[in-house]
Amino acid sequence: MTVELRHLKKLSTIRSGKNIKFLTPAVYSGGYCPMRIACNIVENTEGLSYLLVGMPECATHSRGMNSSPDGLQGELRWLYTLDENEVIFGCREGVIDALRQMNDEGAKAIMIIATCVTDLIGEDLDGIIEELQPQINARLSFVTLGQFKNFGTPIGTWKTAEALGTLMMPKERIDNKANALFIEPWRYNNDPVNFPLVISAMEDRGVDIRRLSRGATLEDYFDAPDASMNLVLSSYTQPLAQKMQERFDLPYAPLHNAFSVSQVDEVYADIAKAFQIDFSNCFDKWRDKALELEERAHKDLPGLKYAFLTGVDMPVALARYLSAFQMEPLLMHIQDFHNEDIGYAKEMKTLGYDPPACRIMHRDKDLEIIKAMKPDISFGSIPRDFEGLRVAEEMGDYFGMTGYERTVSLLTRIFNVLETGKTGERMDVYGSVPF
Amino acid sequence: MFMGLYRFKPMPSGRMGIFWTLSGIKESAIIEFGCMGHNLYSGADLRRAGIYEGFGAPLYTTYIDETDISLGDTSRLDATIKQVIINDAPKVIFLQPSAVPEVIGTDLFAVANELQFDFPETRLIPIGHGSFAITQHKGVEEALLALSKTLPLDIALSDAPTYNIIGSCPDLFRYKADAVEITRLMEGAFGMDPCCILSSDTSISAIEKMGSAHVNLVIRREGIPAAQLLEKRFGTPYVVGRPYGIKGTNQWLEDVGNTLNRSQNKAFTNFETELVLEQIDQAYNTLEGNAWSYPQEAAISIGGHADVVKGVLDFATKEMPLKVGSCWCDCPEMGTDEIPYFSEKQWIPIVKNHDKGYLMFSGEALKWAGKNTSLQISNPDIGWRIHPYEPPFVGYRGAVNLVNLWVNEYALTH
Repeated sequence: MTVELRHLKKLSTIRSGKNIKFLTPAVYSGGYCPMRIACNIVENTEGLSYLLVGMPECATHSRGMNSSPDGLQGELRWLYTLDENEVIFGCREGVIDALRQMNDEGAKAIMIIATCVTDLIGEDLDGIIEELQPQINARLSFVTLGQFKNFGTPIGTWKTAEALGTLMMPKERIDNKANALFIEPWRYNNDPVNFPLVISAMEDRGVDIRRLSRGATLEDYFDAPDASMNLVLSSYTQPLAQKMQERFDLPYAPLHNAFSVSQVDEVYADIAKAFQIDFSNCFDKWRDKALELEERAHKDLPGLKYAFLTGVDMPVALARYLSAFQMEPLLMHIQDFHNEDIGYAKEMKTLGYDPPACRIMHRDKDLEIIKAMKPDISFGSIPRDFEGLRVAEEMGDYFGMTGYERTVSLLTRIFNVLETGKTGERMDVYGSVPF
Repeated sequence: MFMGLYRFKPMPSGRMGIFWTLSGIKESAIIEFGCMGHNLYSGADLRRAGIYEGFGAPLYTTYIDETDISLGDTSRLDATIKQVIINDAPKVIFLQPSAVPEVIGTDLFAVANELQFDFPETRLIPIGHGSFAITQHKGVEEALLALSKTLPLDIALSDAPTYNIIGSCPDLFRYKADAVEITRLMEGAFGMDPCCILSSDTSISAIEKMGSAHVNLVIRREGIPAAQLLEKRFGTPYVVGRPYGIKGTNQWLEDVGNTLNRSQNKAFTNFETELVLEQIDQAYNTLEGNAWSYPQEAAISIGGHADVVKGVLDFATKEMPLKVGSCWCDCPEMGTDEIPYFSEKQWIPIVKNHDKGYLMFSGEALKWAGKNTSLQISNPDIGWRIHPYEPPFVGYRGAVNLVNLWVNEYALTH
């Protein structure tokens, strides 16, 4: 099979998701709409209502099969569909009327979620909020998520997270308070939400942690600026942390992109300093294991070629880490490109790695292309019956996981796959070292 | 509620009606030009509704980005068509715009005409203006009409008489089971096999042969323009209606026989009729006794497609001892005095306040109101429908199923 990659751009030239091309042109059968992600996040936030503004397609598919129009705490999940006139002349009046009615029905805060056509016609939601906010009690925020410029899950998540941030107001700082930012749209592997070991270690040392994750309440978001530090557990929440730093002068600890032991050491030291706590030896076993595996990685991994398939969280940050072991990326599936990825790509290029970036949109066909590239290992998801690739699967396990325990689990998985061809069992990383 | 404001899933768009109608057609592929979400989620819903990979048409999308929109660039379509032909070699590719190309005025018909020269072996059929004013029902009608207009070949009547079913589409709840029961009735009463079940269980080849059928069975009013077109072109007579109940099914079979000028196999219809009467006998007595003593408990309220509501209501009130409750349809253009169209604002209080009798409506609303979801008669659905042998609502077996549902509702509430 001839592998044709000339249409793809090199990672170092990419500045936004717009530059990432499809590996093959036919999309089978579509990708997650960021609107759906926004609805999920709002539905997982107690006390927060939403008004979706879009077409009947959006309104229908905004709901899962079993979603209800009412939340358990009286949240409203209402849908506004544009008619043929509003598509041309805008939906301002209708949306204002809808928001007023939601306010009258008791909504405490409403996230307006605008989809493709609303985004395309440029409805001024900012202006609507500016006009209406003084007249109603419900706090208003909005996110515009036309899929033509917001590709998928990551961007939908981080934009919604940022929009949640606009609901916040300045608060008096509490010294021993931190926010753990892990806003995530799905309930797959990490349910109930498990947090990295550093969170419990901080709590053991008297730091009060507010978990801004699934199940957090609207009040949690209102109060969040009272914290002394944000702990970023996912690249999806890094933009929110940056916004909170700008608005409230609230520093953040980027735990999410610290893969190597030295990086984890550094960020833990910053946290310890900020809260004047001592982690003493509480991570030693995980850290020792991580060091041991990194040492082995430096010996065994150089020269190995790899590809990223779908389902890899923070692919560019992870690739930067693998570059340290001189692993060579052949091709990277990147669903959405984060601003911070520009820096990681630059570091990789300095180390001599600048792979083509793509979006795998027709998995069965695209995997054949990747197979022909003969990677030593791939990361991500493959169909059950696909053969011919050694794949570290279930990479979603690392979504929201940080620290030495993530390093241990990740490197262990890589060695497992290289040795056995199989991912192996999921490692329990929420307690003591399991070996 | 204001116009456009909904709590529940709104009336699907014409584009959605078209997409769902085309989805069951084997030997074809659907390419949606536009953003991807609709394709993904509709595909997931269709798989839950029993239209899965390898059964119907593969569903592709092109995606569209800001540059495509600002430049009016349709080259993604060209590339996608090429790839789909390599992947699947379909006989026909249906092209459909999503909402964004509709807004920017992409002329998919012109694009298809142009591209057809590049792909002479695969027919490209653009379907649907998909404008913002038309509903799901109009979309279904448009798709059925377009299929009947573009695909049937000139052909002689089949030697062994066959029939087409027009209007079996996945937007109707339990569509597949109903189509299976109709084919059983036709086989039993007339010894006839289907030529084409448009469109939930068919192929391009079967649609091409539609002109060879001896009768068209139009099981929802959206199929009438297609049947009229086929009558004009091939002289095929058609029968409109859905066979509900025992007498209703017998009458429907009689209408079909008269249209075909063909006598029924009375042994089949008599046997089926007797069997159903015996099966429902005790349940009938139970429902009748309750209706006599507590007439308010015998009211049946039904919401859904106008043809479904009418058929079930007639069976419930003319053949069974139930009384007319609040009944409504889900399409403004189909409302009548007997079965008016109710918007969400109108049906919410009925569903919410319903406390006596039988309520048959969408799974979504029944679940929300805490009512018995086994009485679901319409979509939006709340479950997976991958079991291919679910009981129908039409025909003799549908009659037994409906009575079974009603008597169990009685048992649950008493």
